[in-house]
Amino acid sequence: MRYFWNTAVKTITRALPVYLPPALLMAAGFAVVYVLFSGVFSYRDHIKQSIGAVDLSDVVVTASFSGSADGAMNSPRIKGLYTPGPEAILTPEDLEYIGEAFAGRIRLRYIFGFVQGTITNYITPDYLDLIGNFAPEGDDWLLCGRDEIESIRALLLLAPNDEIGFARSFPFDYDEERGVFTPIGGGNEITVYAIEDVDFSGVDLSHLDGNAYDDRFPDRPYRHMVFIPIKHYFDVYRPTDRWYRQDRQMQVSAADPQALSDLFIYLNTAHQGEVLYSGKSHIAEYLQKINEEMRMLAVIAPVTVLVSVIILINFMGLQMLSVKRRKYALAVQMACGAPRASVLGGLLAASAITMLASAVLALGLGYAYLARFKPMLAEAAMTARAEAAAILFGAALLAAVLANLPALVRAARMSPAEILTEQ
Amino acid sequence: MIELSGITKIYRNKNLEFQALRGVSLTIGEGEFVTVMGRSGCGKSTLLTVLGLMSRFDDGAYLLRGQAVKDMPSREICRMRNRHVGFVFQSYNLINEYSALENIEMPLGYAGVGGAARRRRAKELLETVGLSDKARNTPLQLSGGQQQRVAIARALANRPSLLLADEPTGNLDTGSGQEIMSLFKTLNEQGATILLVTHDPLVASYGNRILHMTDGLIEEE
Repeated sequence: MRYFWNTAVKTITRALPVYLPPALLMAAGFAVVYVLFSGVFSYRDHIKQSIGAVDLSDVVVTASFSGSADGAMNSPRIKGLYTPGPEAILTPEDLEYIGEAFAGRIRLRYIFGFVQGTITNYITPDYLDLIGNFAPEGDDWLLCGRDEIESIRALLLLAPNDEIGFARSFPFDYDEERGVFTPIGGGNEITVYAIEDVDFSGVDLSHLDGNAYDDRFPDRPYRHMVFIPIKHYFDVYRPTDRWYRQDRQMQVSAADPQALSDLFIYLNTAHQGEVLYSGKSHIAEYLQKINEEMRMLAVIAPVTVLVSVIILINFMGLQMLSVKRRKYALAVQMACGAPRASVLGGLLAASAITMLASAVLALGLGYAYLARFKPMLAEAAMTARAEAAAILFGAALLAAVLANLPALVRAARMSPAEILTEQ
Repeated sequence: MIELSGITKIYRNKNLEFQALRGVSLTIGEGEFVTVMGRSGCGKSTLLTVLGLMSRFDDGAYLLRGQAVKDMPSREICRMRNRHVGFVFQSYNLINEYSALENIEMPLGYAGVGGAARRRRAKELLETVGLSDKARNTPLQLSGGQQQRVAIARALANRPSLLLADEPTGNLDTGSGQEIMSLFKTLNEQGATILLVTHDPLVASYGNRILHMTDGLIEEE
C-alpha cells in the first residue's frame, strides 16, 4: 500500500512538466467555479437571511377595499348560510386552495379590525371553520377600539328593532349550559374585556399589534382596545349588515418567501384586482425585492452550473492529452507484475491528487479574488465559502475520474501486451 | 520449467481474425538459453507474451514451473508474472519519469519488498549490469544500450526463474547489442533460464538451442 501511494506521488512529481500546465489551468477554472458558486450560495444565504430577519408579525397581508357590504349576498342572519362575496378577504375557495397548495408552507392567522367605527360583521361559523384550520380556537381575538364599542353601545341602545334589541344585550358572560352569552346582571350595559380585565399572558399579541412587546412604545395601542373571543362572539352576536368594514388582515409566516410570493400572486390573480393583496408597504417592497433577487438567482444558478460544466469538460480534454502516456505507464507496471486494480487505482490516486492540489490552489485564488473585490460585492459573496469549497472539491474529484475514464476503461479491458503493442 | 502443448492464439478485430499461434508445443528445461528466430509476423512475439503471462491464449495447455496457467485467476497471473518471469522488451519500456534505480525497484515494490531492501537489491542489479554510476539517471539520460541494461536489471529484480527477451538488441548498435548479449550469456551461465526472440542469426547464436518459427508454428533446429 505504501508503494502504491509512493508511486502515485512519484508519478505526479516526476511528471510535473506534463501535469503542471493542465493543473494550473484547472486551478484557474476551479477558481472561477469557486467564485461563481460562492456568489450563488452567498446570494441565496443573503436572501434567506433577509427573509429570516422579517418578523412574523411584520408580514401582514392586507386586503384593502371599502364601501358598503353587500347585504344581499352576505346575509349574516341565517347562521351557516353565509357566502363571502368577491370582496371578502378570503373566500372559502381561497382557503381551500391555500389549504391544499400551501399546506405546511403558509400559516394563516387573521385579525378583524373595528376601525373608525366599522365592525366585522360578515363572518359566520361555517366560514370560520375554514379559517379555523389555520387559527386554533381561542388563539384569535376580535379587536376593536374602546371608543368604538361605546359608539356601538349607544347605537344599539337607540335601535328599535328586535334584532338590535338582541344585540343590545351583547354580552360577555358565557352561559355554558346553553352555549351562549347572557347579559350581565340583566342590564343593558355592554361589558367588554379590556386589556386590563383579562390575563393575556398566554396570548401572543404580536399578531394583533406589531409593537405589542416593543418597549419603545409603552403606550401600546392595544391598551385602548377591547378583546372579544371570536367563537363566543359569533355564537351570540348577529350584527346587521349596516356596518362597513375595512382593513382586514391576515398574517402569514415569513419563513418561506417563495410561498408568500406565490400566495400574493394567487390572491391577486384570483380576485382580479378587486381586492389587492400585499404586505404592509415597506414589507411589500422588501418582499418584492427579495422576489426579484430570487428570480435573479434562478437565472444565475443554472448559468453557473453550465459554465462550471463547460470548464470541467475543457479541462478533461486537457487531461486526456496524456492518456496515451498514462496507458503506457499502466502497461509497463502491469508487465512488471502490478495487479491491474493496483495500477488503475494508482492512476486515479495520482489524478485525484493533482486535481485536489489544483482545487486547493483555486481556493486560494478564489479567496484572494473575493477578498479583493469584497467591497464591490457588498460582502455578500463571502458568506458561503464552505459550500462553494465543497462543490469545488467535488468537481475536482469528478474531473479526476472523468479525465481518466478512457485510459481506465481501455486499460481494464486490454492485456499489458496489447497496450504496449498499441503504443 | 516450461511446457507448452497445442497453444493457439487468435487476434480478433471486429470481423477480422488472425491466428498468431497455431498449436505451439514446446518444452524448455531449467537453465536453457533458447532463441527463437523467425520473420516478422510469424508469431514469435506473441509466443513470448503468452509465455510471459502478458497475454492470454485461446487453446492448449501451458505449465509454468508445473502450474497450469490457463484458468489461473488474474491476480495469481500477476503474482506469477511478478515473481517468476522477467521480461525484456525491444523498446526497453522504462518509465521515463523514474530514475534507473526506481525503474529497477518497480517489480520489487509490487512484490511487497520494503524500501531499504528494494533499494539495496536495485543497486546490486545496477552493479551487475555495469551501471552503478547511473542510478539517478532517468532513461532519457541514458544511451539505448544502457537503457536496455536497466531493463534487464529490472527483469531480474525478483530473481525470476524465466527471463524472456523480445528482440533485446533490435534498437541497439552492434557494439551495444553485443554487450547486451554477453550479459544474457553471463546470466545464463549463472543459472538463468532464457528465451530470446530475434530475427538476427548472430544474436540467435548466443543461445544453446535455436528454434525457428513460421506462421505460428515452431520448428526446432
